Amino acid sequence: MSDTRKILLVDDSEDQILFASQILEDNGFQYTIARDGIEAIDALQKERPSLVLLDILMPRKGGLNVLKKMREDPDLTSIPVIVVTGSGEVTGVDMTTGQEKAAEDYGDDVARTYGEFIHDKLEGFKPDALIEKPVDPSVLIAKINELLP
Amino acid sequence: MLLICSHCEARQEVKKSIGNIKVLCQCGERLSVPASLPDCQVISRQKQDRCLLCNRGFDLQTFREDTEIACGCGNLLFVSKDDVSEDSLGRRKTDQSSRLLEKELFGLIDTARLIHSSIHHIDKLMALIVQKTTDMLNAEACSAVMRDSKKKHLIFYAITGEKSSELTTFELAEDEGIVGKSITTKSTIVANNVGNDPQFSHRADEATGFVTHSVLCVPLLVDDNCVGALEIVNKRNIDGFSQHDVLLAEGIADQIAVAVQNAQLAQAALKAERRAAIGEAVSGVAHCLKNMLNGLQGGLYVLKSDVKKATGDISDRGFEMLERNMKRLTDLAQDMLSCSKDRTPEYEQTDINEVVDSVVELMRQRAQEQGSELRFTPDESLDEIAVDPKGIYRCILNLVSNALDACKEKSGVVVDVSTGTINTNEIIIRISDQGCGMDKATLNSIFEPFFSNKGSDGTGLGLSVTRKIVEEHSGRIGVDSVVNKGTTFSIYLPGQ
Repeated sequence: MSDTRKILLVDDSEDQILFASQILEDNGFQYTIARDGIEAIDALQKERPSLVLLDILMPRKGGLNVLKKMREDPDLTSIPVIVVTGSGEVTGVDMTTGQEKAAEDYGDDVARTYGEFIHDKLEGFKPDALIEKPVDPSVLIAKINELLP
Repeated sequence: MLLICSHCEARQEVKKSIGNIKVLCQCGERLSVPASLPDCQVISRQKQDRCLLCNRGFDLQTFREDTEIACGCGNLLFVSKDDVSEDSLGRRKTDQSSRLLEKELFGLIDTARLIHSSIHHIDKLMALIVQKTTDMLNAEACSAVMRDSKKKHLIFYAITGEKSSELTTFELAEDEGIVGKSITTKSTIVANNVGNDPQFSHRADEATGFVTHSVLCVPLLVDDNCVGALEIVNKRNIDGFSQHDVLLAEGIADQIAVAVQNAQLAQAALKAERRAAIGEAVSGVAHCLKNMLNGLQGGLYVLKSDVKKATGDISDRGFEMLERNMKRLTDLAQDMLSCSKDRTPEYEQTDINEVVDSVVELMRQRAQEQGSELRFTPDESLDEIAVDPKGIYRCILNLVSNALDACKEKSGVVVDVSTGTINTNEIIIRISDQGCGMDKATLNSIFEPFFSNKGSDGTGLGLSVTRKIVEEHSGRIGVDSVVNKGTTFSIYLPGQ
């Protein structure tokens, strides 16, 4: 039983690519892989995935840039995005709202970096869901099924 | 001022006044002292112990030094410890007064300077201020008595005087004694004869063998909250503490209160800073751990998945993923320990070229796999130097590994490692790559713990640990980088 809906898997970690692709395979999803933000934007322009699994901290172009680009592009804005990150709690940004968390809860540098980032580039944009690492496969699949029609 | 009856020798304390002082002695003698005496006569044990006007003799053993005496004949005398050589006795007294004022003024200036000089060493600061106060007020002892509002008692925080060491562990109840009253009522109290004061607590005297005659207590007020009191004991003058002393002590107490407040603010700021640093470190560790746990979780999932589908041999990929992440966890733990501990390098006479060579050999395969060339140019003339070989190995491994990471996206580029001497007595180890390079903002942050631009791969501790190890060897580390051209790291180690 295969699902023709295709998922774009964006992560720089080989472990996470192997892990997530195995989960998708086992659940009958097709997928393509992008290893950083630049590859992700290329892939988005070449083909329209049904959903994006997006890492945040990546070299070259990070995940928040990809999200911003998608939300600004009328052709891509409706594609659901699930952010999968180990840094959701530590970046100073509440990933479900896209808002900066209170500075005193975080180390200054981290909060400042992401705080400035979110204000400069991302205000108002947010992912459809956030999944934190370590990923629970059943939670990931449930979230994908919920977001895909 | 002491007024001595010319008939019965009785002593009475009288306050100076702008008008004539007229007193009836207990023996019935009427005594008077003129309001303004042009000069005063200085009397001393060595030379002169008689009043020049009435020729009356005084037993100077029974008077404290610097005491003013009004002779029954109306002459004003000043008891000095020294022989008096000045012709004009009046000038002597005037000089003494101005010297006293000068001493007080300098004392106040010194106290202010002390308070502004340091906010971190409050113990030392208080001890100095209390010592200054003792000198300025010409007292036998002084202490800053601080209130411990949790335990509801008073402790002697900084103490001067001959019995000071015996008071360091002494405690009073919050409202005990004259000092307790001064603190609870937030008011200055002068008691020039504590024997007659029911509020006086004898416990401190009993515990130390000290004898208290007079006390001046001034509350230390910070924003209307009384944190303690400045207690000055036994004025070295039979008159006891004067209104002038009160003003002086209140001025000093205000300054001590500022010092206490400064110290409290500095402590609060330090605490906040520590909390932020801990928060940052914990966030960094949490991020690394989550990624590694994800790797372990993933490895297990892949392994299970493979086992389910297996008909023959099981693929190694799940096991490899587990192994890789176990190693990363071990490295993280090691880096965290290296970062947090102050350690002394375990020095051994070491051939630096050998250490570098072993790193290059280890990394050569990884370089080949990603299409980079790893070269090593040793300076064969290097002498052995005393370093911690394991520590230096770790530094070079970190830098070579970073250099290869920076070259991942380019093919056919070179990572050059070399050794040499510089400035005649320094050994330099240089690691140059032709990789992606770093911009200024990145360069400014690379040595900070948990900073990483390697996404999920880095712990952000490698360079921080490297610099720490190099600095533990009294060495230094330099970096040059140009975006898209490459980066050079140089480790400088002191030679023999």
